[in-house]
Amino acid sequence: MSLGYLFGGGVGTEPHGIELYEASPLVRRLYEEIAGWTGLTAEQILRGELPEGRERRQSAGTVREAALAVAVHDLLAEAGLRPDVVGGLSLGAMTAGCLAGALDRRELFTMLARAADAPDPPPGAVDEGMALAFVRAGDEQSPPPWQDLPDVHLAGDFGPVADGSQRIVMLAGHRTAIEHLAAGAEPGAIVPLPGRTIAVHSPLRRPFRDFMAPWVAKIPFTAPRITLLSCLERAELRTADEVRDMFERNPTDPISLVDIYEGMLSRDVRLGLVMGPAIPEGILAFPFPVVHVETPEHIELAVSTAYDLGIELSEAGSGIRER
Amino acid sequence: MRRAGHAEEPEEDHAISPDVLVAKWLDIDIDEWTRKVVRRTFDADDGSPYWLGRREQLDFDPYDITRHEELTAFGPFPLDDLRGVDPMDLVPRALRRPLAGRVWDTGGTTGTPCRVFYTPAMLRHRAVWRHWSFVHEGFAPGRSWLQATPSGPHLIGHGAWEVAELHAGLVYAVDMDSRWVKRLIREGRPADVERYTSHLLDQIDDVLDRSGIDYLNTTPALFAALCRRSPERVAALAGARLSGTQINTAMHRDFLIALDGGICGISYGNTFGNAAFLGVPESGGPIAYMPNYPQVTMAVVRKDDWRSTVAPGANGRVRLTVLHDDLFLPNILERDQAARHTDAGWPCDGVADVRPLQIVGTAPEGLY
Repeated sequence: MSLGYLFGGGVGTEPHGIELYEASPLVRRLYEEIAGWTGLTAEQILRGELPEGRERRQSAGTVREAALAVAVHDLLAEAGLRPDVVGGLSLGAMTAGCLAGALDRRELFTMLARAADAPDPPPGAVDEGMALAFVRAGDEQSPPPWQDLPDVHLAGDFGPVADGSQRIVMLAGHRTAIEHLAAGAEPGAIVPLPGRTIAVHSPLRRPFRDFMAPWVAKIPFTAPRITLLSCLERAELRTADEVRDMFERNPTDPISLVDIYEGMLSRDVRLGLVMGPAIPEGILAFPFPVVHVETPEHIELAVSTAYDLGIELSEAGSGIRER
Repeated sequence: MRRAGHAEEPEEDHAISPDVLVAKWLDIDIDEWTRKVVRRTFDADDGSPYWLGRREQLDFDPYDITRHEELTAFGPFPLDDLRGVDPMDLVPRALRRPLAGRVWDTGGTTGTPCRVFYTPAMLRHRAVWRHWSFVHEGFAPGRSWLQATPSGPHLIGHGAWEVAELHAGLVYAVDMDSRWVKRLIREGRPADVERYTSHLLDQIDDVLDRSGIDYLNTTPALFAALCRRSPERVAALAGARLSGTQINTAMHRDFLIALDGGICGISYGNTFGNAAFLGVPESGGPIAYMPNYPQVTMAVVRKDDWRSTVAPGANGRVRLTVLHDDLFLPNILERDQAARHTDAGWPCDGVADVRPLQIVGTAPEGLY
């Protein structure tokens, strides 16, 4: 009977975690520590306006999201919960790797800060964009309308929605191609994501991947100390090299939440805790109960639910349960 | 054509089969039943002092309520009132004062509990449904039980009486303080939670070892802990009956395996009202419960609009309405969420996949 932690992807511009920050000295200390590693102030990480420039903005956003996820993890550890299995999408996959013990926190956050130096697209480059596509359950075997479009790529699979009527997938590519695709589809079937100007998890992100590759190559990864699931394929990452490979491919390869939660289910996960606000509540069909943790009240709910479901609590501590 | 019966009248004697009583209740017309309870509650001479006091603030005449679905006009029931008012004031004056009986608590894990007075008829209604569940779940009469649940102010503890009186049981008891567990969790004291759980399990083990217990009545959380610690004692039981904390299909499957041929019954509810478990679907889908109709009805409503019932199978917040002759509590918004469930044998909605309520961002665009 296992406890799984799920880390979402995406980089929002909205501040999150303010209540946790204000309520907890532990969180404030963590943010100060991250500030020291990244060159951002704790206030910038928490709720400051994100900087201008595509990559600088993206980098600061990833620091913000990862800081909150680590904070939630630490508060849960303080309250007696330690995961048996972790996995995450995109940025969340890297955060999960860190919390599984495959790299230390300083390495993770300095890498995220380093990404601010990635070159922005040259003037005149084609605008990028992303969208969610809602595929009817009966249509899943049919060729999707983007299949033969060279400028639109399947970037992610979030799996079926709660009532099973649809499957949500994520598309990335040239903004105009995505908007054209959405305009020609049934209303609501393809929804461009506002403010998402980077075609992540697609071949368009190759320059960023190449920029980060030397940095990733230098990170002293170690084998995860708890079960770490990949979001790039149905697999557990057992070695340092496997974790490094996931970090390297993460910018360009499609992600799958289904691979993570099916992997968790097969490892007897009975409760999933969603770290932070990245995966909305009630939309997706998780194969086990999930609790979303983003406020102080949610910490109590998570612990209470774990106790109710028969998951043993731990002594307050580091948050790593050795296997 | 359903009829409006008098479900809490003396004919509901202990000697009458629970199947007969439940069949009679399920045949009642809910609109007629609603009118009867509302009119009794608001009777100018013999109504409930609490509700008569609120009548002036209503922008409608309660006597104009003709259908159950019109009860939304009362708005969400203000549970804070049950923390402050005299519980006897909820009871119509038609019941002669002074009232004698028990006041029961609900909630209280995060503050002052809500309190309600149960008349003998209300206790009997609850007990008959539980007896009906015992029979349908396969619990044999005349057996030895261990009741390891909250007791004292918690109605769940009254189950010991129900087993003894209605199911000819011999009942041992271990008391648990659920408020203490919640407080320890809230204070971030996981080691003390485990220590208190061990303290309870020590007492349970002692009774199981000495007393030839057939059935254990406890919470799913405590039963899960017992399965971990004392699998051989669980396997020796003839059955377990569980309520009070959340349970899902995977846990129920685990418990049946641990019981090694024993049975596992469950119910959902609280001091306001309960719902019966009709078995785990063969498909392995979520566990469903149907309310103790007509005195208890449930709806699953949108989290952002408590008046709107969700589509069958969809998730939302549990809204509970209490329609006893002597206790009217419309539109209680529970701290639980569930999927709306329907059953051909029930004249009202039920709930499935019940778990604690959580309201956070729900826009699909937030997925990335």
